[in-house]
Amino acid sequence: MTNTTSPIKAIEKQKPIISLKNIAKTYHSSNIEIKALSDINLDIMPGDYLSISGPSGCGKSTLLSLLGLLDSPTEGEYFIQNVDTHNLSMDQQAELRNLHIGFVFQSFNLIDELSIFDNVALPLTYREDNLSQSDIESRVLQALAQVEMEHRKSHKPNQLSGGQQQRVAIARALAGQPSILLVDEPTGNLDSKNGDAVMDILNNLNRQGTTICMVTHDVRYAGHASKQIHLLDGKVVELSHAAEDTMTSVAPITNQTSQAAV
Amino acid sequence: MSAFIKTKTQFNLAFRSLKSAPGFVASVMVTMSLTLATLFVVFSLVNTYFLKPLDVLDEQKLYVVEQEVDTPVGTHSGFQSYKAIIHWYKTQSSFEKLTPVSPNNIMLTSLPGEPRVVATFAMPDYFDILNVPMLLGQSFARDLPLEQASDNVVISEAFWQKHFDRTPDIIGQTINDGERAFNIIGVVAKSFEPPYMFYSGKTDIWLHFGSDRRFFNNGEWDNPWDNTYKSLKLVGTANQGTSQESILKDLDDRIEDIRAEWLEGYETSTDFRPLVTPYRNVELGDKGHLSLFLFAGTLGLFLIAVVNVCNLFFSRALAQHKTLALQAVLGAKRRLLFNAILTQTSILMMASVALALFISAWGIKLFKHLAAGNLPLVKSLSIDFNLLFVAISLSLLLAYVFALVTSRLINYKALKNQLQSSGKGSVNQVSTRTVKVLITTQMTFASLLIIFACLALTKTHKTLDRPMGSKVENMYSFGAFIRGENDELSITERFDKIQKIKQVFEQLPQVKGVSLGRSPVSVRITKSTLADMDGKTTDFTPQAWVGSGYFEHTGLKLLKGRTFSDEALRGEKNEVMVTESLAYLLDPNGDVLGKVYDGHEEKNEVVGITENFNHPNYFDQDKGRHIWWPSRPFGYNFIIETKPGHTLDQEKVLLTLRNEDARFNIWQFIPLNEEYGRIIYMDIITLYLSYILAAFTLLLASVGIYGVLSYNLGLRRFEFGIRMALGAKKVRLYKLLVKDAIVPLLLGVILANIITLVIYNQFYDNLSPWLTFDISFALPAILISTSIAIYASIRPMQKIIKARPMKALRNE
Repeated sequence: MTNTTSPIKAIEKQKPIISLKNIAKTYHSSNIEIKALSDINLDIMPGDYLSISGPSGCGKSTLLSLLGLLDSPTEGEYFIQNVDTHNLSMDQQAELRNLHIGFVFQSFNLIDELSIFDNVALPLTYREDNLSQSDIESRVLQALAQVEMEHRKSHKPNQLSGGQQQRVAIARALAGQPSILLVDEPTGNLDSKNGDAVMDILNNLNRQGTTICMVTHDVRYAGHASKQIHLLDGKVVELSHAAEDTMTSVAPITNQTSQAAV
Repeated sequence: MSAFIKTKTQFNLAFRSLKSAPGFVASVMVTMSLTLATLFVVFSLVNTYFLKPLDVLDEQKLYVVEQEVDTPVGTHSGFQSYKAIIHWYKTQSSFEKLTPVSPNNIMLTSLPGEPRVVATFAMPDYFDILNVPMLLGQSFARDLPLEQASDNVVISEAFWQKHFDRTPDIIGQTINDGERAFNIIGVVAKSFEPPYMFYSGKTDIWLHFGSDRRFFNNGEWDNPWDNTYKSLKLVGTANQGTSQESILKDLDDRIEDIRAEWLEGYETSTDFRPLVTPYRNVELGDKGHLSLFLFAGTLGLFLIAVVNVCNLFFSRALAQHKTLALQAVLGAKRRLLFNAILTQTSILMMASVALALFISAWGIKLFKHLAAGNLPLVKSLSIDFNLLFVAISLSLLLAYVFALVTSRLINYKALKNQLQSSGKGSVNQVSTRTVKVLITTQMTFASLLIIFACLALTKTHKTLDRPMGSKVENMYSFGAFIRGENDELSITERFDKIQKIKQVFEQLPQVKGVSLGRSPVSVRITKSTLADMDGKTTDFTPQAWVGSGYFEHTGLKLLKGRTFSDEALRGEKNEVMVTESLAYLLDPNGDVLGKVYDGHEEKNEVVGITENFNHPNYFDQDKGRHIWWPSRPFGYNFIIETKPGHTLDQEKVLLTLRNEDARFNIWQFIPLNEEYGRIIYMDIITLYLSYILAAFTLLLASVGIYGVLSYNLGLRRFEFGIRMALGAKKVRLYKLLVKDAIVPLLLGVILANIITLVIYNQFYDNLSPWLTFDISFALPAILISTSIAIYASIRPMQKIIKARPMKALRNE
């Protein structure tokens, strides 16, 4: 906390929303040490549409969970909206997630016992600033409208198809008007038609200014993003910008690199 | 595949599956085996009391005859006079075998230490009726008439062991009571359990009924109609086809021959009648209710354990979800899944029951040791066919119930959907409502048991904490006599001699103080009545004969008046003292000093009122009421207090007495702290059992609550992960816990309290001997148990909240 302003609320528009410096994540299991991520440096600017891709087990979801403050890095620094997350308490991290990060999971992760309306409203009920019921209602309906699911607001998740559930999950992520959407394999559990529909929604949102960071193993969908990161064995090996049509190799992709990472 | 191979395969699969979950198996087996073992022990008691046939000649025809007497203050039953019993014995026509039975203490002067033993006086039919097994020799000859004394004695195996060291030539040896010699003609096997109704089943020797000098004494002393004995009864096997009612009529008809004599001899009675009761009912007394009460408590424990284990099976089903889902996808029908679960539950339940039987064997042994002499029919407790049948039935039933409940809770259709949604735990298999009901039920049962354990504890603590009215530490009570001295010396001479003996003891270096009298600190007490000059009589009230210095010596305060005069102690005046509660019974203002009442003597003046004497075993009936009679010089009864660190024994006392007069014998020698220990023995056992029950219940309840919450939170771990990912803070998550877990928990506690109040008020008369409702005692217990349960609820949640949200999302 600096001065009297909550670090969480300090927002500067032109600086990166998220900044990772030398991030590493190591898991320890029995006597085995697994380096899931190492030496990750990344800046996500407002309005970015970033995709993170790579083979299975390369650390994509781990990176996303670190970005979402769902897990903590073993090394390195992580700044979100200029706030160093290293010394934040669990509650401060929760507040940060609630205000600035919207999550979309691969398996939707809606709560079965709540209606669609209540699922989307859930993050708003966790707000410290106590939104009025009418505010919550209008935001929920607006978010549902964005994903064209307004008409199913009274239904339960298990009454919807996979594609519909994923759209509701996106609405839930949007309802809080976050700084960034973190999307984990949004089409992983969907057929191509529904997958395309979801990607269209995400593309539209980015066009409207929403910053999106998406993990996907699908090369087609990865290409929708303006910035693409390719991970291999926990390291960034390629960074490309679709608009500039350039590709930067961060490290040569060789077998020796793979073995060194392990 | 043949059925045998299918079963064998299923068994192997189940066994391997259980082997991979040792924690689960251990939890289930420990919970079930301990609880079942407790259930089996208590069931063996209930089985013995209500189901197992008694080891007697013909239980269906076996009855006990007592008398019932109407007096102006009420009807008294269960106290018999010799004259009535013998009249019925001689004149009845309803029994094919019949015996009067009466135990008494006698001193055997021919044995080292001149021990006092319990002798049961009975006729030869006693040994047939009660199926008494003879280890050696024989019982009494049949041809000896009732009134004729016999010089034969039958001894118990324990007596043979203790006093004769199991010498092989025991038959023909003699024992002597100072006046008569008895020839040992038989030894009763130790497997025989004498009836509890006679001196709590304690018998060392058996003598012919005609040898009972309380009645058959060559006219030396008349045992009057109103001199009644609790342990004097008739026991008999009725004639074939004779009902209880016809026996009653037969004996009632016989009363007409003696009615006039009875009424004249029993002045305070207005009417009387025989009381004929099936043997089992008299033998059990109120202990039958105790066993049922214990059984109800154990069943409650058992139910908690069953709910706990259900929870553990739910958790296991959750852990095996993916396996079950795969099987469903591969074509396994519901029945197959059920059989798989049933095989696992069957293995677990059979193992638990086997272990429980093993533990209960030891439990029964321990119970027999603790309860011997305090509960009837204890020797008959065993693992018998009934118990084995119950054990096997329970194991099959529980296996089926656990399998059924577990499989019902698995949503078969959702299993297949599980795999489609990548199985990240998003499907909530059990509704929140079900879990809330589980928590509420669990807590209600547990709280009920804990509350009732506390009520029993309260009762016991009250009994143990209540001041009795006599010191017992370093206190000894003994009675000595010299045969025939009452005929040799006048009352005054006896009085003076007693005073001299008192001084001799007072001068012993280890003695702190001496008073005259027989201490009322005794397992067995006697009672009598007081009648005012209008003929209004009190109920039977405990009594004791004490000297003037007794009260100051033993610490019982004299509240009003004075103690006995020397004239009263010499028998020249009739005085009586009463306790405060008796004074208030006699007079609403308690103002009885100077008033005169008839008792053993006529016109006894009340000279003093003392504090209440609260005998632990009789407080509920008598509320501290007590009659104090002056100790007349018919025997040498003393209460001696030794200095701290010093002790007294019978040999020392006898030596001291015989230094004054070599003819002295000791009738009884009782260290009062040991006697007090015997008095409160059952209360101590109840205390420990109640603490153990409460602790065990708390443990089971905590395990159960923890299990339910863990299971619930385990199911919802992913949900909590989502909520944390969406920004829910700790406070919000704890609020959710309060709503879903703490509120049902508290509801369970409230329900338990309401049920307790209702049960206690409805069944107050039956429960009040065992339970006391005291909120100051129950409240801390309720608070502690609730706190522990709340902690057991919060603990699993803390683990989830402390960890990173990603762990919850990964269901770690």
